[in-house]
Formats: sequence, structure tokens, C-alpha cells
Amino acid sequence: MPSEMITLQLGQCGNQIGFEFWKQLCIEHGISPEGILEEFASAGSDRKDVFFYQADDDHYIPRAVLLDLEPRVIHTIMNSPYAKLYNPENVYLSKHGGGAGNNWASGYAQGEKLNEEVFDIINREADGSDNLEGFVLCHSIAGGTGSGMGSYILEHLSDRFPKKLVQTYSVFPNLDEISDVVVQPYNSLLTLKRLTESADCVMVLDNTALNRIASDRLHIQNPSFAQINTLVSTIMSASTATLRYPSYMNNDLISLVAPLIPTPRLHFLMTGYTPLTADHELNTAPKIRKTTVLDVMQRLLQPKNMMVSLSPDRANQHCYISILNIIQGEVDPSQVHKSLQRIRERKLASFIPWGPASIQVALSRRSPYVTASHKVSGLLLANHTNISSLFDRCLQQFDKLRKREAFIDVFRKEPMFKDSLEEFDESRSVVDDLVREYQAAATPDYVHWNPESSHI
Amino acid sequence: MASGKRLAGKTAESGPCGKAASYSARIRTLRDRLKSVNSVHCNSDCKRMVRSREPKTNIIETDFKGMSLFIRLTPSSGVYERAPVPICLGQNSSIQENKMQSTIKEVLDALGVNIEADTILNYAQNDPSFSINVSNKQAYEYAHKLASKVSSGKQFLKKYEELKSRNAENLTNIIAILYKLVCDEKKFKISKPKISPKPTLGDNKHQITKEDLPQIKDKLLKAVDESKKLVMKSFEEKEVQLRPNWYNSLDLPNWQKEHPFMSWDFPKEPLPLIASLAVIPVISQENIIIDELLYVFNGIPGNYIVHKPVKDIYEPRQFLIAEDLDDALKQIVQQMLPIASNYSIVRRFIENCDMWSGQVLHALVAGIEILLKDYYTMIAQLETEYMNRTLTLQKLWYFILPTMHTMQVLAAIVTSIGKSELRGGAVLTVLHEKTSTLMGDVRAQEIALFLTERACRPYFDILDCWIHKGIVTDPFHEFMIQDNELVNKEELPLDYSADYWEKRYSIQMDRVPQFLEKFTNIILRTGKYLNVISQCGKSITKTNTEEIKYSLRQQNYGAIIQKAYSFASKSLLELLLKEYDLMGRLKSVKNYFLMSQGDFIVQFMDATEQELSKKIDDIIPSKLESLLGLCLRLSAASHDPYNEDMRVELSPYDLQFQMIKIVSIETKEEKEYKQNKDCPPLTGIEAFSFGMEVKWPVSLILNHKAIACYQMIFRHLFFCKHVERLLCRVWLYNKVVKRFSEARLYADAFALRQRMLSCVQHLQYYMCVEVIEPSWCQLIQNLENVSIFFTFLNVVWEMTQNTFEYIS
Repeated sequence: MPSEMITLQLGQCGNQIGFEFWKQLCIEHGISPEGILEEFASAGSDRKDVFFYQADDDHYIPRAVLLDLEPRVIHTIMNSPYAKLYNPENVYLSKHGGGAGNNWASGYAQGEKLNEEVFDIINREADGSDNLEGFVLCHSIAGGTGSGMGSYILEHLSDRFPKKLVQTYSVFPNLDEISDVVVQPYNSLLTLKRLTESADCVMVLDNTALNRIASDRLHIQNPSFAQINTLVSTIMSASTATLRYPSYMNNDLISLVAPLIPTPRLHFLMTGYTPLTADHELNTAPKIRKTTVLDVMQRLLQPKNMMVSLSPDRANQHCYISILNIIQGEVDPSQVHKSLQRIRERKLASFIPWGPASIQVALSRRSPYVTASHKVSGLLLANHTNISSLFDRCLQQFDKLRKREAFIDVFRKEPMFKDSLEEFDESRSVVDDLVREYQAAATPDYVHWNPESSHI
Repeated sequence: MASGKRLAGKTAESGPCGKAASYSARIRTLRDRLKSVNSVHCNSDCKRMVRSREPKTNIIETDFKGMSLFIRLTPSSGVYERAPVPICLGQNSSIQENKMQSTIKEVLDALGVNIEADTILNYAQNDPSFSINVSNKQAYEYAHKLASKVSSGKQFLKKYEELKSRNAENLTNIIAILYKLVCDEKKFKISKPKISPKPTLGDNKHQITKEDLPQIKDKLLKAVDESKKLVMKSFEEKEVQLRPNWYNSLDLPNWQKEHPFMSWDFPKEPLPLIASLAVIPVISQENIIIDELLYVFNGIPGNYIVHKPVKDIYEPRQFLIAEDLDDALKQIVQQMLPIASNYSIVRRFIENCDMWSGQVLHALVAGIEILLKDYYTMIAQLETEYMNRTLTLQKLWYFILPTMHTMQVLAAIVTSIGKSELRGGAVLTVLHEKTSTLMGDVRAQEIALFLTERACRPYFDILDCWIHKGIVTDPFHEFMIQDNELVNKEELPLDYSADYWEKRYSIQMDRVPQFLEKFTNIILRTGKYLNVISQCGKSITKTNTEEIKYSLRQQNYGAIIQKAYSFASKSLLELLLKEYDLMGRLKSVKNYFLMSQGDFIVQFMDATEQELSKKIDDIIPSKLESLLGLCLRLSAASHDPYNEDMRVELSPYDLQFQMIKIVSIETKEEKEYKQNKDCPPLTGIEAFSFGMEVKWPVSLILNHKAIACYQMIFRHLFFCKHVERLLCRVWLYNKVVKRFSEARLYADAFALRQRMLSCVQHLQYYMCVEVIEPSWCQLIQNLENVSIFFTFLNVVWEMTQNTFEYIS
């Protein structure tokens, strides 16, 4: 099968997201929690083989690799109705089960140690597919396993599979609250370096924004992890819809991603989804919204629907590098055309001066087995220069800790930092470069921009 | 019964009473009748034959009221090399030519000019202005001007009127040409100052002596005889063409030749007046003459009134009345004789009608016979009256007065049909015209209507069979739709079904009755649709029970035809949609050619990339074929029931070349493009396209042309996809540089790549989402009507073409 994707779920967060994602895919493709195709879905024209493969007894198995250093989340998964869905060989739990202790360095070191076993699994999966297109990595950048081990795997994935696409769904920590993980800024920065250098496409999922959306848009007071993760799985499933429900265009991941990322480093994408409804509102809330293409496309451009919280752009210097709207539902192409025209007339989106300035639209079918509450729904994938503000905040927090040399001892225990803390500085400069490149991208002379000259 | 006796006299050799005996004796003297049909053709053909033997006589001198008109016959191939049997030119054209020739001949005869009809014809064909239509009024003026120049002007005008009355083809044009010839006479003189010596028979050097004359006469007679034989042969051949194969095995007796007295018309040869009335007193003369008249009305020559022979079968017959008949009686007889003359014309028409005249004429003749039966009854009643001694000449005149009118109408109808030798649908046109023009005359219209209705029956039967069963049963080639059975379904290669659709049945405009003209296309389509249905092995149940009838006012045929049409098109559409799953087919076309099955295309491109990037000559088609099969089985396309019909095609030219050839605009760029032929050979990507095997009857809609259009769209989309993939691959290779700080230096190139990618994707988006998909949706909505499909094609095609031009 062409363009298969292998999903790697790392750490507590990664596995939780992944779990929700597979749940969503199963519902959309009409696959039961045991992996058996429901009867009503037997004649589907969807492509299940992008994310699933069929075992000898024809039941569907996700191309997923579940990795964690502590057993809690994976045990929950294995006790859920979906336990039989996964290939048990692909579930890897560290033997000592101690976890990474929210320490990036520990996670990285354990990743190094388990390297052989983990890549055995990945290689086996890769060999099992005809024409592997790439990997999807789900993790958070704040914890220990997802960030540390994830970083290690990222580095080696791009070495071992240089021609494959590596896409990550990276959960950024909530910067508004004081985290219980004190070394979070260290973890984030160290992971960011790997994301910059080894990943090809990073879907930034900002916990701050997700919480805000949950409370503001969905009116949930204290959103649970599961509720937040449902948001993430919605985005993940929508962004892969054109792959799974093939139509004229965008039938492989690369054709989605390539136009969004003009230069290799600027590959941090933010997402937006509308309309969102929480489960508890589905039946009670009156249907006041009439979804039209224009409505959806306009809403997608509003910052409040963005799943990344950006610091306000006062100088108004930031702009979109590229936008892709995936519109699902009953859509009349002429409406899309009109909406695009309206958006252009009203200048709702400003674009970089050095590249093609237009919104791309991909129309996709919806799963026939899920009753949608809205006629039209849309996902926005955007490359915006203001995402640098997020990294900037990471840098600031990192700098605060680094200045005091706080909690550095935890890292010194690990072999990587035993001799020097160079890695910190290196990572900082990489992220700093990234921030400045993003800022430069908003200017017309970006194509002639030279990082060295701007250092001075 | 007296009438019985009369009728018996026609067939039996002798009758019981003396009168019949003397009559039969007279009949015996008659010789076998010769067929006088087509005498005009014979003449002109004979002359052509003679002339082709002696091509020296290429100057014909004519005398035009003192002015001499020289027309030089150029030995052009058109005249001399034409085969004596014109059948080889194609039946229709030769018949038309013959008709025209005969018309010209008649006109020339009337003018008293001795020019070959061929000359005029040849001149007419070479004259470009000939095709210009001359209005009737103009022609009329020309005719009068011509008449003023000729000595026999009156005769000419009479002929002109007559020809006009029987709708002789191209009459107006011929008159115009003649007029032009006369007017251009001076020009001729200038262009041809040298007058060739008069042609002489035999040796030019010797004077012709009186001794030579019998020899020359012999020669001439021989030549004429031979040519006559040849011409007769040619006509027989023409008839043979109409005849089915079994004709030769059928030994039909030629009654008219063997038994000339079976004719109900007057005998061919004139009879002398055998008795004199001089000795009979006037009072007795009346009785005798009544008896005579009753005979004459029946087409039997009497003792005192005898017929004159006719030259042409539709010429009114003249009679000879005994000189010594009383003048008063003679006057009344003269008044009554036209009925006999008209009867004679009608009879001649009936008897001229043979086995091959066709069903319409047969039906018409049968209708006339019904009318004639009434006529005979009337004669019989008159005779009874006569036997009872109560019939006087005045009474007879009074009785036959209405019948005289009827007979006149009949004769007029018959003459106009017979003179122009019409058959089939054309007869109906004439009848229809007659019926509608006789509006003022109730009785005459009734007759015309009756005849039209009768004559229409067989035609309507064929029509009924055609529009309700889709079969042409037309043994005499009368029906407006001709079944070209040579174009058989099995003989055709699969992709030529479009040809079948177009060529199997064709409309013969000259066989369309005027009142059906506006339905012509509907009728053709109705039958075609039904025919397709029956070709698919479906039986057609006739739903209509109403009989198609001709009538002047309540014309039900229009409604029936419309009903049959809607039924036929509906059932064909249903058949295509249900049995042959047209929608499924179209979907599969959309999936493959319009690339809506994106994953299949991606997979196929992945699989064949290597093969297709080769030069076209190095590609192994069978390998592509097997890869296609593999992809079809593995992708989501495996659910498609029609995936087995997909083929791989490699065309020898690229899309741009193909398009330019089709559009064929002579622009500067195009010329440059054409000159730039020595470009490198095509790669597989440029040449590749899918093919599709479409089976009958879906191939009627997805015909060769449609598939070709789809292929062109496909090739364009395919190439766009290919470019997109190449750009994506570049992206994939580029991504490595992000780890190195030198990456910045490539930013320019990256930006360019980005623009290109964005352009290609937007183009694809436009074509797929904004052009193809809406047209597709519209098609689905409009598919209630079959023909809309072609509009759909056009829409998609045009728009794609626009996009294509936009890019290039």
C-alpha cells in the first residue's frame, strides 16, 4: 500500500493522545475496538491501510508503536476495550519501569540504552509496509520520556530513514500555570532543538491554548486530560482526512506538508479547528450556528480558535507563511471560491512578501459512519511567523532557570551532562536562531537573510 | 347484367352477344403494347451513345430566329468519358441527372432547338452560377423572354407551364441557364471565332452521293438499334438493383406484353372507324351514340368513336368521332369525351404501376380502383337505364357531370405523380399538397383525402414498425429511413460503435413526406433507440395500440410519434442506467480519467515512475499493463467492477501537439512549434494515458471521441500530478539541509520551489475542484436526458482547454 504512516507514541502524554487518535480512527472507519470491521462499513471506499494493516484473520491492526518508561498509561490502555486492537509486540515498556522522572536527560539516556529494542520494532513495522511515507510521533516536550526519549528517537529516525517524512504532534506545556515539573523549561528547550533539526513537520499543540479553548469555547470549567485529548485527536484525524478519504488531490502526506513549509527549518505549524462542540453540549445546546464555508474559513483565521496561544503581535509585523484549510462536509466549490475572495478583499490574512500569498484549500469527504453535527467543518494548518513568540517564551523561562543554575544537578547525574552543560547552550542557540529566522521570514529580504550578520 | 357482359368482354375472348363478338374481333387486331415508360430517357441516352461513337460532331449549329448560336462542345471528360450506364455514379445522382436531362430535353424540344441535352447539362455543371437559386418569378420572366426570341414561342411557354405543373426538378435553373446562353451568345462568338467545318458523315473528302444514302441509312439504323438495346439493358439493371435476390428464381409472366387485351385502357394501336352513320337518321343516331359512349367511358373503342394513340402515357387522349354524326349530337359527345380521356389517363397510370413501384403506389392504385368500382357501377346503372330505353343523351350528360369532375381530379393527381415518376414518400408529399390545396372544392378534397389516407397506410405501417419496434421493413426503398445493413455490429471493431450509431440508419430526404418533415429527426432517433435496445437482446413490447392515420385536421401522428419517441428514449436510458450501469461506468471514468480516485493514481505513479521516465521507445507496454493491473487490485479501486476494462495507452505525440493539431490555429507560436519538431523524443510520462474498453451499448455514449477527450484531460492532469510529485521529492531531498547553517544560502531556491509547487497545486485544485467536480455534479443532475451528456463533455472539455491555454 502506498504512503503508509507509522505512529510512535511516547510517554504518558503521547500515549494518551495516541489512544484517543486510534479511538477516533476506529469510529471513522467503522472498525470495532477489537479491530474487526463492522458490517455496515464493509463496502467503504475509504483507505484504512494508511494507518492500519490487516492481520491474517483480516482484523485491522494499527501501525502504532507504544513506548513508555513507566507502565501506568499503557496499563490503562491495555485494560480498555481497545486492548486487543494493538499489536502486543509493538507495545514496549521499560523493564525496570521507573520512568524518566520528568528528566529529559534520563529519558534520552534510557532511549540510548533501549535503542536496539525500540528500533527493532520500528524496523519491523517499516518492513511490513510497501511504501512507507513517514512517521508520526506523539509526545509532549515537557516531560521526561516523551521529550528525552522522543528526542533520541527523532535524531535516529532521520538518520535511519533520511527519505521518510517525520511529523510530530508535540504538546507544549501550559506556560500560564506553574508546572509541577520544575525542569520543564530545560526539557522543552532541549527537545525544541531536536524538533528543529530532526523533525520535518511539527504540529504545535499548545496546552495553554487547548485549555483556553476548552474553557472558553466548550465551557468546561476544569477540562480533564481526556477532554483535551479529544480536541487533539479531532485535529489529528482531520489533518489526515484527505489521506484516508482519497479524492482528486492531497492523497499523500507530503503533498499536504510540502506547500506549507517553504524552507526546511520553518516547519512549526499551528492548527485551528471549527466548529468545536463538547460531548456534553451536543444534545442540550440549541443549534444556533449555521455553518457555511465562509463562516468556517473566517473563524479559522481568528486567533481564539487557534490551538496555539501566541503573544499578541503589537508591532503587527508577523504574518502567515502559508495556510492550508482542510474543509470537510458538503461543500460547493463555488462557495470556497467566494470565501477566498472575501478573505482576500478584507485582508483577513497577511502573507509573507517573498512567497506565494494565498490560502490553499483541500476538500475532503467525511466519514460516513460518524454523524456530524455541522454541515461544514474546517481545519486550519498554518505556518505563522508569530509562532516564534512561543519559542521566545520558552527561551525566557529557560534563561530564568539557567541564570540561577537551578535544578541542574538532576541533569548532571546523566552521562550527557556529566562533563559540561554545553548541550544547554547549543540548544539555546539553535532555538534562538529559529526565533530570529521566523522573525526574519516576516520581512521581504528573508531570502537574502544571513543569520551571521544579524548576530552583530 | 349488362355491365357484367362488358367486364367479361375485357377478359374473355368472346362474349355471348354480337356486340361483344365484334368488339373482341377488333381487339384481336391490336398488337402487343410496347412499354413506353422512360421513353424520354431512352432518347437522350441513345443520343449520348451515338455521340460517344462519333466524337467529331462537336459543333452543333442551331438556328435561333435568324441568329446563329454556336455552342462548342468541348471534349471534356464530363461528357465523353462518362459510362453509358450511369449507375456507377451512384444511383441517386444518376437518377437526378437523368431527370434533369429529360427536363432539359423537353424544354429544348419545345424551343425547337436541336441541341443535346448533355450540352446544357455540361454547361450547367461547369457554370458556377448554376447553383444560385433562381426564384420562380425570375424564371417566369426568363421563359417569356426566351419565348419571344424563338419562332415556336407559344409552344415553349406551354411546355414551361406543364413542366412547372409537375414540379420538374431544377426547371427554374434550366430556364435561367438557357436564357444566359442566349444572352451570352455574342461572347461565344468572340471566344470562338473559328468556325469548324460542318461535320459530315462518312468520309470528309468525298461528297455524299445518292448511292451512299441507303448505306448510311442502314448504318444509322443499326447504331440506333444497338444503342436502344444498351439503354434498355441499363434500365433493366437499374430495376434489378431494387429487386431482392429471389426475383430471378421467380418466373413472373409479363401479362402486359403477352396479353395486351387484358388492359382496361384503350388498345395501344388506333382502330379505324368501321361504320358510317350517314344512312342512319338523326333520331336513331342518338341511341347508337349513347351505346358508343358507354363503351368509350370504359376504355373500349366503339364503332363510331375511336381513340387516337398517345405519345406519352400521361397525355390526354384524343378521340375521333364519325364525320357524319349529327352536329348537335357531336357537340354533346365532345363535351362528354374528357371523362373517357381522364379515365384513360388514370387507367394508364394504374397499369403502369408494376411490382416494383412500391407499396405506397400500390396502395394509391388500390384506392383509385375503389373509386373506379363506383365508376363502373355508375356506367352499369346507366346501361340498365339505356336498356330500358329511358336514357337520352341529355340525361347521360346530366348523370355523368359530377363524375366528370371526380375523374378530372383523379387524372390531375395521377398525372402529377406519374409524370415526375415519384414513388414512396414523395408520392405522399404530392398527395398531401393536393389535399390541402383543394380546400375550396369539397368533393375533390374528399377524393384527395381518401387517396392520401389510403396511400399513407403502408407508409404508416412501416413508420409504426419503426417507431415501435425499431425495425425497417421496407422492401421497396420507400421509407424515409434507410437501413444500411452493411454496417453490421459484429463487423465493427469495438471502438467504432459511434460509427454504427451514425451510419447504420440514414434519412433519405427525398422520401420524407412533407407532413412528416418536422418529425424527421425524432422518427430517426426513436427507431435508433429501439434498435439499440433490441440489439442488446431486450424485447420491445409495443405499448401503443392507436393506429397512425392520415387526416387533414385531427392529425394524430404527431402525438403518436412524440409518445413513441419519449418511450423509446426513456427505455433506452433506463436500459443504460439500470442494465448497463451507465452511472457506474461514468463513475469509473471519473475515478480513473479525472483522477478522483487519488490514491490509485498515487499508487500507480509510485509503481510506474521508473518505467514511465524512460524514453517512449524503451518502454515495455506489457510491463505497464501488468503494473496497472497490480495497482488496480491493490488500491481502493479493487472495489470498482469495471477496473478490468482499463488499459494502458502510449500515444506517439505529446498533449500539446495533439491539442494544437485539433485546435489548429495558425498562430506564429504554433508555426514555431511545428518547426521545432526535432525536440527530444517523448518520455513515458508525456505519452502515457489510460485507455478504456467500453462495451456495447455503453460505447454509444462513451464513444471513441468521448474517451479521447477524457484522455486528453487525463494526460494534462497526469502531467500536473507528475510535476507536483517531482517538486515534492525535491522538498524531501531539501529537508536534510536544516541541520546545517548553510541552509540559508538556498533560501532563494526554496522560495522558487515553493512558488512552483503552489502554482501547480492551485492549478490542480482549480481543474479538479472548480471545473471537474461541479460539471460532474451537474451531469448527475441532468442525466435525465441522454443528450445532455455531450454538453457535459463540451463543458469539461472547453474549460480544461481554457486552463491549458492559460498555462501554456
